[in-house]
Amino acid sequence: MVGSLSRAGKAPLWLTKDVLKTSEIARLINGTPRSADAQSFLVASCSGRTFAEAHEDPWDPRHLRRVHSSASSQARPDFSDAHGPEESAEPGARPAAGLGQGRDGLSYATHMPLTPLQTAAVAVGSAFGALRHPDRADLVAALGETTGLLAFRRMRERMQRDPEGRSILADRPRITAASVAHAWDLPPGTFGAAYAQFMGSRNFSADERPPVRFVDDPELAYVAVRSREVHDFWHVLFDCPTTVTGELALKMVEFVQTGMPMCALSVLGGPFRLPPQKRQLLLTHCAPWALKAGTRAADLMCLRYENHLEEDLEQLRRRWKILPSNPAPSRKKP
Amino acid sequence: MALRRGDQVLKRLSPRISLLCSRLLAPEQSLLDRESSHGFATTSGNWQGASGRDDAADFGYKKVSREEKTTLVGEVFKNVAPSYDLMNDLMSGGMHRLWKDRFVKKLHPFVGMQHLDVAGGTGDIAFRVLDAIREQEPKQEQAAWGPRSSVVVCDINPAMLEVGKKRAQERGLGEASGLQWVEGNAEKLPFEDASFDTYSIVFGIRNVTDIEAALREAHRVLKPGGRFLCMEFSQVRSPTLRALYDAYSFSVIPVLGDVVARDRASYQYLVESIRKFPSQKKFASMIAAAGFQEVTYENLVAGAVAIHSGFKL
Repeated sequence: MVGSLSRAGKAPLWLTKDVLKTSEIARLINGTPRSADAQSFLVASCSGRTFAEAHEDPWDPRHLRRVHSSASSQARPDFSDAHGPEESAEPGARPAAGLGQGRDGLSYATHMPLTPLQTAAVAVGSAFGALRHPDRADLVAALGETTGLLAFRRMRERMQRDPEGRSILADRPRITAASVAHAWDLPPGTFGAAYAQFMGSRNFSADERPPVRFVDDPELAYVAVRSREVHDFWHVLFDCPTTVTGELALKMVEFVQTGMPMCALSVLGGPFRLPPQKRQLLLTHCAPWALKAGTRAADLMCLRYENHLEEDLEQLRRRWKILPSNPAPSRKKP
Repeated sequence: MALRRGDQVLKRLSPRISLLCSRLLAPEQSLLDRESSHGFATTSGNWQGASGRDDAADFGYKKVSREEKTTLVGEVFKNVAPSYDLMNDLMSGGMHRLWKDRFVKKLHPFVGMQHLDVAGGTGDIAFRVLDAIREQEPKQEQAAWGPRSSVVVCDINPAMLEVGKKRAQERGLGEASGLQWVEGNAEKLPFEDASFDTYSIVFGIRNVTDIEAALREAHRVLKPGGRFLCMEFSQVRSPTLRALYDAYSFSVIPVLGDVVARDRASYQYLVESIRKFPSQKKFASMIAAAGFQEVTYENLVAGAVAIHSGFKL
């Protein structure tokens, strides 16, 4: 279950929600339905709906790209409720922080409270759903949130013990396309330049992560969002490609670092979709590396990556004791 | 015996039990949901609202006009089509496969049968019928000269038919297998009179705006001696089980629809439309009124699912 897979040419739902809503609803309401009940149903139904999903093979390498959505070039979409209320569309605004104000008893803007039965149902449902549709990042996210409460608590405690972690918890910085935009201007060899190269070559955007919904405590919800947003930085630091094998290897590192059951489940369920040679490679080559790298590295949740973009990549790797992945032995040997 | 006595006691306490269950299992339900879950006791089996009046139809607990209902149901199934099979597995815990197996066993497919599966978009029943026919073929030598078996899947929604066609392709069931996909309305089938041996409609008839019209059409297209078989969610008799079932339906299914299918409203419609569907006895009388005889029904899962059968004699 590789959270960053998505169909080529189709941006995730949470980014184009507004764009879809207006055009779809306009089309439907201008048609036959007249009664208020019918219209309210259509509004409710469209707002959760995605475009028709192409029935393509989700493991096709063409889908390993997320597309820089057109929505981020327009006015900031509704997803902005996951950003702080201070966020504004003009450039040079203060960097995004926090998860946004909750209303009507919600802890934060995208909060969806669930009873224990519903939590269990969502956990099971998203697990099977993610197994069948591995390109659905939102299902992997839902699984992580519903099963990771203990892990989030442990991460928060560790962050509270570390000075840099404490500052992250206090400021709750968000990693958005705006906040990392300066990475593209940095000289080669720096962490920021490597990050810009990674994101740019794959046409990724830092805004494309699913919002957190099922964690009740706002601080733990922030911890969840943070663990999701720093994932791309870990790709760069550990030099893991965004292939299925690379993602699963990084998920193993993530499991060692964060202890989230979703990572373990991804690693257990994901390889069944791989051909046998790749599965073997994962087991013999990637798993030992992931264990070593994950245990040796500094506490990756307590690092404020945004502040270190200007520094040299190799220096950072040494300071944070990061063991980059080495590519598998090539089959084409001379 | 003890169960019946217990049920009598529970019948008196049932409004309080349902209240307790819904509070325990779904305390966070919104006001609307709470109204719905309390409303079930009074609206179950209330079918006059759907077809009795001229222009009004039930869309779950909402009231809409008849043309609107067809459009809205079309939207529902267009939305849910991509994740339909996954959601079926999740909502029923995989049990829908067992129900469909039981249904097809009851159908007794035979070599040379002309079968019509209405509202069978994604093809679950059609594939099972074809498999059952295939199993029998080596045993029956008549297969060589009798009529070719044919299974026609008719659905009003093209999105569901697309999913079904794709699944058929994956199974290698092309034109030669006798499988046909036709877009059509159950209330006005695009087939001639007396052209099918059996007619099935599985988890589809509650979405039809005019149920009596669909039943009359079923009677029309069946050959004399033909069998009408319908599987649908129905009413649970036992009050305790009903309370548990309702609490599960109203709290879990819309949330699963929201997370997995990204469409809470459609799944809210689903659970409400189940409550609005007539009871087993009422539906059996509707089938008899359409001209079928020897109408019987079989309850699965304590009445949550019922298979109704009738013959055109």
